Amino acid sequence: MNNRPRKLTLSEWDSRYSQLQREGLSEPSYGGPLRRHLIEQKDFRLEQLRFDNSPAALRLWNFLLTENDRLRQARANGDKIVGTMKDLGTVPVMAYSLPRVRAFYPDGAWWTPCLMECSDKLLQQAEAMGIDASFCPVRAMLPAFQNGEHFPRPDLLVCSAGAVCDDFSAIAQRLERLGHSILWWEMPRRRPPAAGEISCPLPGHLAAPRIQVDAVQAELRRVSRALGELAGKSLDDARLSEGIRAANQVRRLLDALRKTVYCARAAPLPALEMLVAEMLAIHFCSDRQESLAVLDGLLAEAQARVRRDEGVVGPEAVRVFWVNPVADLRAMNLLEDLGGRLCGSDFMITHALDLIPEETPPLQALACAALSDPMVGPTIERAARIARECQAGRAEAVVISRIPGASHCAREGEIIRSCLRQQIGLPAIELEIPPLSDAMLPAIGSRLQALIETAKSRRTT
Amino acid sequence: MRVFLTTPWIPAEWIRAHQLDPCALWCAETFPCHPSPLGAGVCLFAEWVVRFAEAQPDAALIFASACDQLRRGFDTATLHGRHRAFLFNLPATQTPAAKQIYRSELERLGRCLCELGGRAPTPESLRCEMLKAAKARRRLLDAAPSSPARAYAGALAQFHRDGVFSAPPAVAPGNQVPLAIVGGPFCAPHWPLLDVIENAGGRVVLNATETGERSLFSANEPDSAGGNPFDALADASFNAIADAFQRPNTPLYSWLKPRLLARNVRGLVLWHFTGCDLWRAEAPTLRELTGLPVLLLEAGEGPGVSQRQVNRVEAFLETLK
Amino acid sequence: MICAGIDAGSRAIKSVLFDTDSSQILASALADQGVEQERLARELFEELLSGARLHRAQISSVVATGYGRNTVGFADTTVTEITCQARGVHRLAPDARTIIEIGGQDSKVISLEEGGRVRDFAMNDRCAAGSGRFLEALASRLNMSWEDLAELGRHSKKPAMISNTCVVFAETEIIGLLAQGAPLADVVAGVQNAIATRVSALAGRFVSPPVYFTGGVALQPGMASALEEVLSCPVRVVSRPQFTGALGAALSATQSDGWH
Repeated sequence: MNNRPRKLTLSEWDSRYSQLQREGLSEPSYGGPLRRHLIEQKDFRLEQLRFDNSPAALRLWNFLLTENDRLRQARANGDKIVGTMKDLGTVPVMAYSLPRVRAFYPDGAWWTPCLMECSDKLLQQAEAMGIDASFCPVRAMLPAFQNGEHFPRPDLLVCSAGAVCDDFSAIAQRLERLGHSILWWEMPRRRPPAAGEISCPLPGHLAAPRIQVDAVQAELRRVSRALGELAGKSLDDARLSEGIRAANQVRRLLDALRKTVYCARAAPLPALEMLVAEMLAIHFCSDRQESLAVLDGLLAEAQARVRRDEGVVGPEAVRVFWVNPVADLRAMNLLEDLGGRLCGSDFMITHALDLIPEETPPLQALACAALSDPMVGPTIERAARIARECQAGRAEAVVISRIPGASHCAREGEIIRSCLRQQIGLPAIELEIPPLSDAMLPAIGSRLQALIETAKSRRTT
Repeated sequence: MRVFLTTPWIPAEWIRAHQLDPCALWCAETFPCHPSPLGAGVCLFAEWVVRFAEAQPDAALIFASACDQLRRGFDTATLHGRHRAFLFNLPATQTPAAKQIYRSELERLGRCLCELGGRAPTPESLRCEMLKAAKARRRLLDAAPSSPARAYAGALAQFHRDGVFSAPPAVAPGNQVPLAIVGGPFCAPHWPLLDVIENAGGRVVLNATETGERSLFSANEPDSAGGNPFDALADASFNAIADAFQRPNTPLYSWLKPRLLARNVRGLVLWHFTGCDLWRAEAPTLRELTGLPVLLLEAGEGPGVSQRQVNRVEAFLETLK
Repeated sequence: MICAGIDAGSRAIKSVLFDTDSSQILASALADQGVEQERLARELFEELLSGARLHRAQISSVVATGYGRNTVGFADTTVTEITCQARGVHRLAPDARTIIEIGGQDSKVISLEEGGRVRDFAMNDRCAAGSGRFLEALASRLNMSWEDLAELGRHSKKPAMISNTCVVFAETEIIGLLAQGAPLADVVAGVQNAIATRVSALAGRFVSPPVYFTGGVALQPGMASALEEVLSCPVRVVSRPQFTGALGAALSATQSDGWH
């Protein structure tokens, strides 16, 4: 079998898996053929996707697709489970600082109906629970909580409120009304420091007034007390500092992976795997130690391919910066099928990619990290970061994907496009990608293709 | 100088005490509430606010951070360097940190008001404005149960626009079906809905929209014997917030339920703008917690009442009669 | 060298023969779209060749664009409508900086740089309210032709307000208006305004004059002025607006090196 980097269908992966086994593939306990997820969990979408052919990618997919099982196993082993919602990257760092505690994002359940091609009826059930298609696919979380067929019911639910997207906030409030007690904590809407205010630097070249950092710090202290009570151990500064260092290990690895892949001449890893890998930053896919191993494997594979000047997508592909995650993962394959490749990304979790300051008292550092969330502050600051990273990644075009029903998408796309046009003059399109985009594929493909043509036409002058 | 507010949860008396003229934007004569083409998912109310900001770049305008639509509306309005827009961080929770945020935002707003030409109030002048506002609110609250819906909406609008109270004529309760309207901002262009309800045999006895009775947060009379009136203002205003954006939003239901009971409300109209997830998501909770039938009505892309809305109201009242 | 462009739209197929030596359009033709898209495209193309007394062998390249471009099996290559509209309009109106194209079931706003290169674009192909489909639905409901309908709209004194953003619901609203005695001319003008309003929402802040209007709907009298009203700037209708996509496709056959 040809071992050169390429993307395989699920059927092709069956053969590939057999080949790897013959070659002595070593797998973690959650390893196995990809097809079993289709059979066991009914992730029918896997048949529509194409996956990188490396053992590292196999490990990544198995890691992602076994999360619910691993959480149940952790519960059976006596670990406490924390459901952290909305802040995307801060509270899990705290939770994982405690022994025998796992944190995960129930928000992440939004991929479930997409992967299961809606056979689980989660979206219809959400509608029956009063949350219809005018809300984003995160609404799948509601029936997932009720039926318990996906993730285990957490021992503690923590959710940020305030400068968070409306539809998620509304869904979480509905969840509480359904009997799931939530520890809410306040996230102020970040603003630049005014004249006369003490300015605190934040990760991501941002700044906020001290008063906001203090407020978030006070809130995170409340959260840390709750986590400590759950674990039966004090979440003191020493534990938090250790947790921050460990989280930064993951972030450093992810940073190296992104730089290796996005700066390479030919993309050594596909866009789909990069999206999934990046999501490991927010809660380590419920296993911080294992997430290091997974990312390490991906990085090694990417580096080896770069050394051999090999890629899944050639150097002629148009370099595209992608904004916002996609409900239907197929869009990532489609980008490459049409002649594009990922050269950078803002999947709404850039603050979970930045290092948490280690020299600062840990709760303050976490408050700064939480406040640097791109969704919490002015959209122009998010756009400025996108512009910087577009330049770093030599982007030729930008895709801003809209999540159907997501309140922040109503205006932010226009603001980001306007800023990008002004600052770097790149063509940028907004593209709505529904949970199952099959019927929309011609229209989505047309737009992507038009963008790629536009970018290519700009190359010749 | 006029200072326009997009939310009732920032006390107007604070602005008045700075010798500036607060005006609820949704009542302003220049509020551009005409049909507006909307991008996908954009709330009409937020769009009107943004259009006002663009048409009047020199007007002082206070946005509130309570929803994504207005937060990003602020981003849109300030994209091209609009200088007189202020985004007030309205906390969603009721934690001590949130209370401190609210208080510090009032102080920050005060500093901005001074930059606009206002003058920092003395404790006495602030106390005086608080007393006046509390008195007007109390009188409006007293008039609520007996006022016709449309006249009461007008009286509320006048209070929010000019700070004055004029009593709407009292009317004896008839045998119409008593309804409550609850939800987001309910502006003058949409008041014909109240007439539609009356024509169909109903009567709005509780206007619990953001711009309705709920906006008259309980008269917070300052302690005339002493104490810091700013503390009293910050505390009372923060504690009085009762809205769907809060987390948890139990204050909303604590406010709503006794009033529904006291006024024998038999049905709820949930009024919201298309794109407003915060209110739309409350429909099942409203049904469950109040035990009342709920009619969802969405504001469209313009003023007035559509035939579709008329049909729904008529059907709703038929089922209640 | 003679190149051919075929714009396989959702409602009509358009084809253009372009002589690169003389920089002239030699011929153009249009036919209704249908289910057998490849056959219809081929028939149109052959009819065009026959009318111009040319053979297939004399055509150096065939480029297909439009919604159904991938069904035109005999095309040498396909290019999207964005690129083709930009090229076609730029050829006819080199000063264009914004192109608005309203087709049978979608609308596009294309922003051009000097020299005609596409800077940015926005498309709405998920909602009929900003497309010619809205006018078609009205014409069909009233048993009128598209042309008669358009002519009527000229006589409007006060365009009706159509509040529904969905074509299906708007149809009901229109019937209601007519039943209440609203002049038909005002209703037609109201529909045109509704389409223009949707397009202006799509365009957002990215409209830089000069603005050119193309696509089949540009032939409707009143549509350009409806757009001018909402965009607050002059809107010029490009010549032969149904054919700019096909022209751009033919020009794409010559563009191996980008823009001149």
